[in-house]
Amino acid sequence: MIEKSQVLQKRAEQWSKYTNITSLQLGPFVPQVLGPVMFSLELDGEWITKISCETGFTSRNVEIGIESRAWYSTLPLIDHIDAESSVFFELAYALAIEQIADLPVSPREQGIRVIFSELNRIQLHIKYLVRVAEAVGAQSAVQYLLRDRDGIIELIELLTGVRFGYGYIIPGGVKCDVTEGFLERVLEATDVLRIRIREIQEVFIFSDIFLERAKGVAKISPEMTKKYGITGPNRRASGDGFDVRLVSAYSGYELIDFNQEGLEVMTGDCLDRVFYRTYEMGQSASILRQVVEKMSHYDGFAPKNWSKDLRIPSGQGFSRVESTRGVLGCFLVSDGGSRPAKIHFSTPSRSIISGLPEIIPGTNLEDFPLAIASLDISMLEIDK
Amino acid sequence: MKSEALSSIAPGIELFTAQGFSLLVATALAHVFIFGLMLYPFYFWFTALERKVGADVQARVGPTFSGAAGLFQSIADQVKLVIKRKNNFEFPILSIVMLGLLFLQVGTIPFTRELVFIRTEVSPFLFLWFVFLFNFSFWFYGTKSRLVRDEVVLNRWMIQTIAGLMPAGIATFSALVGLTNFDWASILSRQGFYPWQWRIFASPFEFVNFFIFILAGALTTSSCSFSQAFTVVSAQRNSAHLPGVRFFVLANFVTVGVILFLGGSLLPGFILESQWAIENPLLLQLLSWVVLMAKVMTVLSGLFVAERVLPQLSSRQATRFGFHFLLPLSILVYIGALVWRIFD
Repeated sequence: MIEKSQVLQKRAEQWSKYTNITSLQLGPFVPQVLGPVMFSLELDGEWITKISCETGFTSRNVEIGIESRAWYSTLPLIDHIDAESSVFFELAYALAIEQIADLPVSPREQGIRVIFSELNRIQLHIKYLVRVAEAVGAQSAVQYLLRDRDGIIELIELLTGVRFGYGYIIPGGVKCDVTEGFLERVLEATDVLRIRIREIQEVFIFSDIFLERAKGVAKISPEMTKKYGITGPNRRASGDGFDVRLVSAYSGYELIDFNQEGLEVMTGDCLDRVFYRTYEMGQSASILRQVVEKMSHYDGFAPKNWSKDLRIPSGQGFSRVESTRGVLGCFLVSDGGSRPAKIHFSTPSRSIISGLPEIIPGTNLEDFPLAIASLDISMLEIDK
Repeated sequence: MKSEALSSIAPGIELFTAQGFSLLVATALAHVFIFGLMLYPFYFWFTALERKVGADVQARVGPTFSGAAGLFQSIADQVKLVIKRKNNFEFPILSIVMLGLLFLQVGTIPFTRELVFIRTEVSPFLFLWFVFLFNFSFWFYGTKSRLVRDEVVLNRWMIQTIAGLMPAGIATFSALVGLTNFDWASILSRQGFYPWQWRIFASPFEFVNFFIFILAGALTTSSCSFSQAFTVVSAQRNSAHLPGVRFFVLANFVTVGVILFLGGSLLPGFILESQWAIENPLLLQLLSWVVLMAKVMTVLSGLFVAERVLPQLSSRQATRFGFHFLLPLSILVYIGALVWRIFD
């Protein structure tokens, strides 16, 4: 006697011949994501109905590595968690140590930190726009953007001496003072940037082809951001103005005049996410200008004792900073020894990727690269 | 009758008209060879230029070991693509056969008035049929063999091809209004009677018609079978083969468009034979090639620059553009050209 479940299974097999559901695996190297990830898509015709992600291709156990190193040699590893946005990891780590050890930071060094962070935020948003432009094949926009990014990176090089893997922010301040003429060049760059942002908006974002293509793609509702803990520009592009720099200001952001108001008009689709990044770049330029103007009142840079015999008193600290992708948290425990007892980073990309099964379904297969690029996912942060 | 018409417009026709099948094929091959020899260095140079400009913007050096003016970079890219691909035997054979057919049909296009190799009833539609056949064969093979797993991708590219080829076909029909025969000889015999010797100035409809034809060509050749329309998907599929093929077919489109609408190898308001009194057929032929290719390369450069400046159309957008804009417009232009012909 045939059981009912067998009958149902047979019927399902028969029906599967007539449905148009196929599966597609993309990855592990998807150009729109920083780092390897495997996406498994289920398609109904050309519409995505289901998505799942396989992660862990670059798992390096950096946190364990940091815990096994002496305090003074942890900085290079912190930089290598996500080489692109290493400045925010450095800052979160330094803030956590300062919280435990109660280290004071001079206003000048806090200003330098803000300048450094905002310069990085601008160059990372430009890199984000490059990924989006590549996803839709806007080659000239890519070249324009990379040219502008290089100018910002040159400024960072002038400040830190390197273009990549800075090791510049250390607990208690920064490694060295700004070089002569740096602040003036930052002011010049902010002026140029305002023109460039307008240019990119006209060339790329407000072109009819892109407007039509990106509108309504992969929407994130404000409820969804709360459900999955999505923060940063993705959350603000959904109409929620949550920003750590305003909610719990750090490193002197409380002295700067900026806000995240009037974002209610944002709908949280791909177009708004891309547009909001350009808006935020302008905001960063304004912050830079304010800080540079304040910097002339602050002086006094003192070299730090960041050497082999360094000890951090026992205790635990938690810091959070507004990274380019969202809220980056650092939880640090010290037992007074020569190395950290426990360290953990909570990264913004993790919450974005956990929300993908709700964000992506309903998207056309063709728009998938664009949708993924617009979410700004870094697998290096996730597989740390 | 036709040969007389040809002889009247082209004095050197007796010398260069092929007789016999083997000679026909040989001359057609030579024709393709010259076409490739004149166009591909331009393509290589354009690709190398693009890479160099991109590198310069990013403060990189760009491709270095690429020969004089970067001319061999594209060849190296193509070789790498072929070598690195894992394939069964069928796909390369199909590619070679279809590409061979596509390349051979170039022999039927009259690049110069002195050089009409195949004196049959060949019309400009042959080229459009070959492009359709090229796409259709890969669509059919991909669907049946499951080599390309997504029917979605295949169907999309087929629909996009049709969305481009239909306006192109109707635009060609409009260009042939008033002719009893649609063959190349009749088209050539009609050249030279318009302002600047360009047919686009014959009527406003012809002017629009040229742009419809060229845009339809760009639309057709941007389908997945010729280039990477699907940014991610094609990176893992067989559809990302040989972007040089795309260039070749687009150059074909532009060449046909130039012969139909821009006077082919004729200089604007200038007749080589009479004004320069050039009697040597070989020299005439060479000069005609140069004039034609200059026109083709100018139009191609415009297309390339426009493509680089604008974001790429998604396949859906492209199909919609073809069916909702180009096709109705081409039908309107066809009716307009007919009415113009009646009252002219």
